[in-house]
Amino acid sequence: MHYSKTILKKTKRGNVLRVVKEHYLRDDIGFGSELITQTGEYKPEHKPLLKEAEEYLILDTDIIMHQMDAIENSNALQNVVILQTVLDSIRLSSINTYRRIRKVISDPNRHFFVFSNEHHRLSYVHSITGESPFARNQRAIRKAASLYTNVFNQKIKIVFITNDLENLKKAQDEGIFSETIYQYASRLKNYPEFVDMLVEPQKSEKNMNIEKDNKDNKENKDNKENQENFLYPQHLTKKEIFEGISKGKYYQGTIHINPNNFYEAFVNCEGYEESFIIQGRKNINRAVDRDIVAIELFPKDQKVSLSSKIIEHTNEEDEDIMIEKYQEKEKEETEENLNLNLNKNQNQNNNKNRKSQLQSAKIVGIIKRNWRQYCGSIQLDQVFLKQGGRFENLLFIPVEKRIPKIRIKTRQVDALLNKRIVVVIDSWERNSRYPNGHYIKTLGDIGDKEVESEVILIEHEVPHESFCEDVLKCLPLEQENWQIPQEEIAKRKDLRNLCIISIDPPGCKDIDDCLHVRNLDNGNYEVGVHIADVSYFVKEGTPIDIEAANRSTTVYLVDRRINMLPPLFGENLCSLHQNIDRLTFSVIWELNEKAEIIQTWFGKTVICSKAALSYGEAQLRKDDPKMKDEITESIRTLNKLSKYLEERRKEAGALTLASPEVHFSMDSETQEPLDVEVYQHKEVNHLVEEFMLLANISVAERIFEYFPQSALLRRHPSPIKSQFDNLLKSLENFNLSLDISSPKNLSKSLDKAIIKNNPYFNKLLRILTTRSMTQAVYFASGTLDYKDFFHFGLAAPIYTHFTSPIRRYADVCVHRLLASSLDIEAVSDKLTRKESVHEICKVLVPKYGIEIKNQKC
Amino acid sequence: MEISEYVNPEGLRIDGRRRKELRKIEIEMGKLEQVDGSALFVEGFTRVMASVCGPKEVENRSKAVEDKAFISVEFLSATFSTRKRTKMSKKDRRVLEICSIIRKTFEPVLQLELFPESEISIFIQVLQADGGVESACINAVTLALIDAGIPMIDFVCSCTGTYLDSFCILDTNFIEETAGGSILIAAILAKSKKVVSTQMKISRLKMENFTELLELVVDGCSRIYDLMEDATRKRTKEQLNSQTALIK
Amino acid sequence: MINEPQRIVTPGEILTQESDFLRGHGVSLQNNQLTATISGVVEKVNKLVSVEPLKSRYNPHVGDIVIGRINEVMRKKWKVEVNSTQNAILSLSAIILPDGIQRRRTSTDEMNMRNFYKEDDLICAEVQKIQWQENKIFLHTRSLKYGKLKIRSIDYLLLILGVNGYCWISSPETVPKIDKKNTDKNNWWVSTHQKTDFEKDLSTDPKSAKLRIRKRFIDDESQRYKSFTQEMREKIARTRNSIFVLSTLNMTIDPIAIMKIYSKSLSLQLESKDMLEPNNMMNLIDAKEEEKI
Repeated sequence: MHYSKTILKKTKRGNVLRVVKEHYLRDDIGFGSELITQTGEYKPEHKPLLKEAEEYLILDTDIIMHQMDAIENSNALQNVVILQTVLDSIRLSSINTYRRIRKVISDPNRHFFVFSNEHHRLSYVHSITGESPFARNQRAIRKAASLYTNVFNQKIKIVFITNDLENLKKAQDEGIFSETIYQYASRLKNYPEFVDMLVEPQKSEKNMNIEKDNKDNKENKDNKENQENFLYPQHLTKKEIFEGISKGKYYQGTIHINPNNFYEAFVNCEGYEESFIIQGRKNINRAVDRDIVAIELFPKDQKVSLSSKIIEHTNEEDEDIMIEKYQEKEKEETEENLNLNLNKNQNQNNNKNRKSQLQSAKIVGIIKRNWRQYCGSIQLDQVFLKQGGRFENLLFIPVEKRIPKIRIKTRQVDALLNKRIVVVIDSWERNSRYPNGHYIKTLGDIGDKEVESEVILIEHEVPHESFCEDVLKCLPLEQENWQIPQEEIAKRKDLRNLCIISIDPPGCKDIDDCLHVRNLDNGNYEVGVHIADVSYFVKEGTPIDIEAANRSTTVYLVDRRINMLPPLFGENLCSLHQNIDRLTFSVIWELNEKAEIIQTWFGKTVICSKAALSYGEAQLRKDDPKMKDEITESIRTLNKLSKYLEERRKEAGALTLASPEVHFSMDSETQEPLDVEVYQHKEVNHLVEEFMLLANISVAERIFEYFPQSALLRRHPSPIKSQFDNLLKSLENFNLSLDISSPKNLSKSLDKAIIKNNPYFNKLLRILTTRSMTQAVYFASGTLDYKDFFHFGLAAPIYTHFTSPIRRYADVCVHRLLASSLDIEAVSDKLTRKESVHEICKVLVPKYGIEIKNQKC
Repeated sequence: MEISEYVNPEGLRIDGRRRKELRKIEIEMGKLEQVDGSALFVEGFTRVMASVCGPKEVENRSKAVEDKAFISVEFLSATFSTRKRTKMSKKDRRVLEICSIIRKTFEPVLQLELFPESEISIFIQVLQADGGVESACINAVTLALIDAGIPMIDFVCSCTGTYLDSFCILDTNFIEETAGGSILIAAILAKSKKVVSTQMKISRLKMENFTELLELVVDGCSRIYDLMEDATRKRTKEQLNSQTALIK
Repeated sequence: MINEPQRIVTPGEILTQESDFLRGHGVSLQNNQLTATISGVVEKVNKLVSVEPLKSRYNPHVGDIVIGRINEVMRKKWKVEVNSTQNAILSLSAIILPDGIQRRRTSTDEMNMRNFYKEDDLICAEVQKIQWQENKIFLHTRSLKYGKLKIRSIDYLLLILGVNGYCWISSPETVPKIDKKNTDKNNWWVSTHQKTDFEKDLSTDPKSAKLRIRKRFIDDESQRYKSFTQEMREKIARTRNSIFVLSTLNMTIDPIAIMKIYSKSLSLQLESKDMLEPNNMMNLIDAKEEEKI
């Protein structure tokens, strides 16, 4: 332990605050290489830099900020020293990049080392008055680089890599061997793809400014010429944008490109019910789908109706023509509208038209880019096959139609043709029709089933890599031979002698719920719901827990499933198979004749399922009067009780909504999908569902009682009127209407909405209603008022998810909270503070656009 | 949103310490001349001055206890001690709380029965607050009491720790203390290692984490004790030397 | 004995493993082991172990001459502040009556108590007895050398070093028309410590003492200043500061030491007001040491 006696003051003047922080300098920080050993070094065994390496690299901040993809995906950079100064500035500017670089650092095969130069006695630099923090950091980086150069002296070459030419020059002057990443890449022989992954050098800020000045001058002189030079209008600076927003001149919102028409986009602004429409390439002005943008509205009377045209990507030459045509048409339309406006006789008509019109706007600046990795392929007709080895400019067509084509450079054209590749956007200059990007990786051949599945997963940002080593280490050593330890059984209530059954869809491998019922002496019933005790295996904070939280649900594709937990857990140890002892978390009620709760018991149990039935099997047993065994009788009793529950729920106004659930019948050998059929709901489905709902509600009440601030609950907000407008308008044609004021009224009006000779109409209406409703969401109980906890769809005042911990992470959290409320196992502060639970809830939002099985309400 | 790392993967905290390291501690005893005993306890940027008057005749007769001395505590936080200039009133809940902690901590340690119907008044002044204020107060009071020559059975040493982002951290500074972790303030009898008082803020902590945190804090306390003992011994020696200077 | 290094202990430190010692001051029995409760020097006298503190409140012994201040006039007694853990008691029967006759105190005497000593009067007294159980100190002034401290008409400086840590420096000048009520205003307060002769500054209640003194200054300022020559004031100030130097540096305060500092400050041609500057203080001390050698 060495503290340096020097205490440095860091001052930060915000408002009137002057923050003074302590800063300790140390002597025990190592250099991460076996070549140098110091006495008293902290963690002397941690030396990731190889002593056999030819050179050690030190990266500047801008390299990591801009070339992260290359660093991440290529092994070209090894034996790298990352300075703390660099890490700190990355963390401040982009938490995402920070996480990515941290991941690379923790990979033992990459030989990255973090040198805490800010706390090393020899490499700390004081800031000089008047010096910008940026300049100070650059000086600190150079100081650390020169320290490395001196320490390793002739033993190993230290290379400082920066793209900042000014910094490069200064570093060279200080005797540090420095080069740009391009110079370094050109020296590399073994990694040809590395160059492709690099982002093109950008014009430095200074140049941009000069350009801007020139532009301003030019604009005065010759406006036309300028417009030809630049395809897009200039974006405003952040400062201008925020000033504009606060003055109410601009609006902030998220842009959504119309998937059917690339030249049309919508911007949803907070606090405005209607979205704004943006039409034309120039007005969209280089915004990419899901960016956060600033818009300026056109005068009020310029309302535009949605175009029904479908415009897809075309070749460059065609595009302009298309646009012109399109714009002409648009003009006509507007003129038409104007005519209509003038014509007072047609006022009514006009008003009707207006309803589907939106306020048009244009984009003046980008507040935050939301670029991600895009899958797609190379545009074929652009390729002129040439001798390899040279850079080729190619156009990349993304799979997602909302995304523009991306211009990339590559030396390996042949290898990329007819492949699905992944690309990211680097920048979008004003004078370029398309954004510039760079190649990241190849997925495989176009059309291959595996590859296309992966494309779908990447496009929806579903984490789907196989589980990494850290996670697999959390599995029990005995693998599938794992047995429940005796002492664990001793701690739990032993229910192995009860007749416990599970009813699931056919072929279900991850059974997470079981039921039992038995008659009590006083004429009441004891009903138990037993849920797989995932939280016993997945302990909080372990790698497997973090991974599960990240995945948050199991995703079901046609031919495969992206598991939230490794299959050993999901399909084996946690799954409640027939005739095997399993650990469960149970809710047991005493119900009276009318299925009213007399008392509730929660606790950890051990069970042995007597029968794992499919819905069909269960239904058959129930309907067969000859069957009189215990299992069948249980099903009948449960069914009887569930009818009461269902009735009561409906009375309270629970909705019977429908979402089209389809089922793929698969070829049993090849696992190829053969047919699609609409899922049939059987009586016993409702049986299971009723008890699961009851369990969820009981648990919700319990955890809310014990964690009034941090209970993880689920609510379903009342529908927003405007979202029903379209549906209601269509219904007017049938002389029907819906009352959405309360679940009860909605339920009643849905029941009434029947057309006699069309039995499917009501079902369809229910599907449409479901679509129009807002999504149910998770939330922390402390963030809302109790009255807002209401679950509209289930008409339940409080609700949570408890019954599917194998496939939903929320349930795992709820299990932990419940266990803590029973004093079984304490939870960390992560689950006891509403802020952190709120964070968890944000992550648990179902991944964009993915249908998740069993994610009903 | 900026997510802070209170302990980075290299094992360093924001200020460059490791998890189990204390801040730089400075102790000055007997600085004030107008009181019976005084001590300045500086821990990083936390700076607390404690002074002790007494034992003396009780000022307010009604407070006198027949068979032992009565401890009165006054706590004052300088307006310039915190980041925001705020004046704490004497009836502020925090002030009352800290006064009662001090009184309860020291009542069993001091040999109060030696001074019936007397009063020992403790006056605490926080000059600079950068986390761990309560602990620094307890330490400063211990030293001031020793300086005043009031008999006590053992040193009372205190230290603060927090459980934050699944790490146990010793001797928290202001940033770490306000980060929302579970904070544990413990005071121990240095020689017997008996815990005399603990205080939890924002609790709910796993039992095993609590045990780990408590062990860490107790370890911190005994390290602080070494420093305090050293300072006391040095001070006594100084006094002794100058006293014998003339006799020589 | 003298050469044996003195053992310094801190609270909680175990003094000895042997159990047949007797417990003295500053020692307590913890877990059957003799433990120090204060920081100081260990003293062993036969089987008695005690820890002598280097700084504490006045620990009274019968026969000590102390200087105290009247805190409260009560029924048949005065409470006297003497820098101890409790105020000392001076009962009416323990003083010499103005007429000097030994007799029973009458109710008239009781009525006249304020004429003898009133609040804030400074007195010199001797410790008569101590009731350890109740922590009470009894004083008496049954001698002519004790009693109220006032300015006397003698041509030398009067200095009383109270064993309890308070000192009295008085003017030797004859003061015409001394108002009996205000005699003690021309004096400086210094407190030193008794017994171990360690210094301890100021009385228990510095705030109130200062306030009261300030008030009286104003009352008869003019008269007070008239009654002193510049030279005399200078002497008093120099003496006061000499004591203060010793006390600040934790040194033993005795007449010889005071005289040495006094004369050294003269030889260094220091003005009395400059004596308390840290540098000068060190010079004065160094000088003293040199003289010794």
